[in-house]
Amino acid sequence: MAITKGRTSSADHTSTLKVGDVAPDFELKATTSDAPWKLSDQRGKSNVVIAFFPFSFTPV
Amino acid sequence: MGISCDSSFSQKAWAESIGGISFPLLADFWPHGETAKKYGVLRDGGFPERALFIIDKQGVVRYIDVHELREQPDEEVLFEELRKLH
Repeated sequence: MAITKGRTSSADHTSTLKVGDVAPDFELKATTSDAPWKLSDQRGKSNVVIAFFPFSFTPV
Repeated sequence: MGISCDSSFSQKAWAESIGGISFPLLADFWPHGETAKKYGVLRDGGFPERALFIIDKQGVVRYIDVHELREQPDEEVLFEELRKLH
């Protein structure tokens, strides 16, 4: 299955979040360090881009 | 940051197989999809949507893009949004 680049966004909100909401904090294991990565550690330091993607190792 | 519901082992192997990724991948593997659920992007099959969020320094969501699974978002749109924050 080929992935095409598209400008069409299917939604600008989700079932739990919209622009202007406080981002829910989370702490997850990272590929780059032994210590978990925590969103709230970035507060006051940098903007964060989060990209959810369906699966590793697939064209999806 | 990239997040999927794969294990960290899969993510590492995948990142290496495509020649390395310049940002960390985060494993939302256990409790499975917990973070995706908080963000409202967990699909019925137990995997996340293809979705982008920009969170500013104050921890506020500034941009959301939930994309068709088969489509790759145009990164220029994202960069434009990021420029607005500086």
